[in-house]
Amino acid sequence: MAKGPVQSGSASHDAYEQERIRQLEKQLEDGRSAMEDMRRKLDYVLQERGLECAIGEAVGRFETMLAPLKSLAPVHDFGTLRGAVVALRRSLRRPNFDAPPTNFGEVFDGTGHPKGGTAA
Amino acid sequence: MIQQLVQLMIDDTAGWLPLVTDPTDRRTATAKAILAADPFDLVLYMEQSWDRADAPIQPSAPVYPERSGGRAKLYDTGCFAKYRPDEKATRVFPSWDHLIYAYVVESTRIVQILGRVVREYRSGEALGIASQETRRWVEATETLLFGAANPLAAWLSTSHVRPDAEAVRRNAYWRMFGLDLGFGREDNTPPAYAKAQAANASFTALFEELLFELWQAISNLRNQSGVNQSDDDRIYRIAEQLRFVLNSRRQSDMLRREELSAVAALGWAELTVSFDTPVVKDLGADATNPGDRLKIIGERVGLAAHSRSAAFFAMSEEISILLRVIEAGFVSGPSTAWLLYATEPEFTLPDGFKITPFGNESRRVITEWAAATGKDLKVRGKAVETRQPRLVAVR
Repeated sequence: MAKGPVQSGSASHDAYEQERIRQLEKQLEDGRSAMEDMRRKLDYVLQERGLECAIGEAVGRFETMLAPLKSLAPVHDFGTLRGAVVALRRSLRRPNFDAPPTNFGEVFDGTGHPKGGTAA
Repeated sequence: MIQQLVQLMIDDTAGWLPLVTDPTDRRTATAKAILAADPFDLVLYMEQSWDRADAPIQPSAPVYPERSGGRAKLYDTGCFAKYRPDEKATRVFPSWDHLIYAYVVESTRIVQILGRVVREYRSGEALGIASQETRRWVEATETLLFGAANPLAAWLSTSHVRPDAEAVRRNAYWRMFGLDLGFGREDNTPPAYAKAQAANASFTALFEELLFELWQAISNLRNQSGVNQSDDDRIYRIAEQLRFVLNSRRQSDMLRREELSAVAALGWAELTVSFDTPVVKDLGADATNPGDRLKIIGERVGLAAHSRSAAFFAMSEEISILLRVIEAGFVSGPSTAWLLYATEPEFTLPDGFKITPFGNESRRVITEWAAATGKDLKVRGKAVETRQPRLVAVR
């Protein structure tokens, strides 16, 4: 026989409620225990590894958490970026001594024949 | 700086060699003119470049250029004075290469080899009789690279407290990259230089990690299906960390003067073997690439060039651009990480304008860095640790 919904006021409902309360209390206790555990670990880190180390770890975690947000922030001015790229390329231009000796386009036409010559 | 000067002269089609229009002829004629130039003119040009870059970045900053009226007039007397780099651009990016350019070119051992060439030409005729062009090159090289007397001190990065230019460069490489050259002094004794405590020892690891991530991104650039392993956020974070590391040695323009001295000296050395120049021909070192030319010259003077010289020469231009991009902070977030790996000649920005990203430079550096160091940058040496880190045990 399939179990139906638990009726309010019935004995089974009371047992259900008791069980639910017991589970919540256990979760609360687990949470308290985890918090206490974390507090003891933090105390240890602070004592043994120094405050800077603990702060560094905390900042590192925050940075990791904030990274997706930072990537969405509109921090770029593309006009400035474009100008900077052009200026950098211009300031470091240099000759290429290994460039091909001839501009092929000036010698050959589009069919592969020398310009001004006759087709083979 | 030397290569940039050659390019500015080539571009001056109206004022410099107007009748020479063939690109190859213009390149070689201009480079030959520079290689036979009076070193005094080159020093004046270098000082001029330094002054222009030394202007305050913010006009309101209480810092003035080091130039005085007398200096400015003196600089203008140099025969290269009119080839000024773009002034606005120079205030943000110096008109010379990054220090890494000097490091990779010097790693070929070119300075020590050219030093022996100069010594041989000055002390005897074992290398044959030098042509007039080569004799002028010897005079300029002795001044620019090895501190011969000049009306204006060649490189203000040496003095009686640090007289050896090579030791000054080694010190700068150590501080900026945590790297030393792969060889000792010319007589193969260990190098002696001031090894600063504050050095960027993490540079190589960070740089190679960045190259690995860039290769992942490049190989997934046109990936339409399947897993895309490129990680913009990680590229951005490594690039940012590299920027912090490099800029920590740049505070208050630290090492800037040494950088200019180093790249000018190594630019001169590289130009000497860039093509079959008069000195290369006089030494019988005609070849098809700078690495082979240097190898033959090294054999003639009894000092072997680095076996990976070709790789060092091949990436010198690109690695300089790449580090300038990183140091300038172009990659200001994950959304601009593509600047370092996109390879399209004209990449369209969200605002509709086009830009040429630096993916081709990255590719070249990945290829040649792997060839020069023997490390395969396309595979990760150590598997990524996926286990969750655990807190230290409670005592």
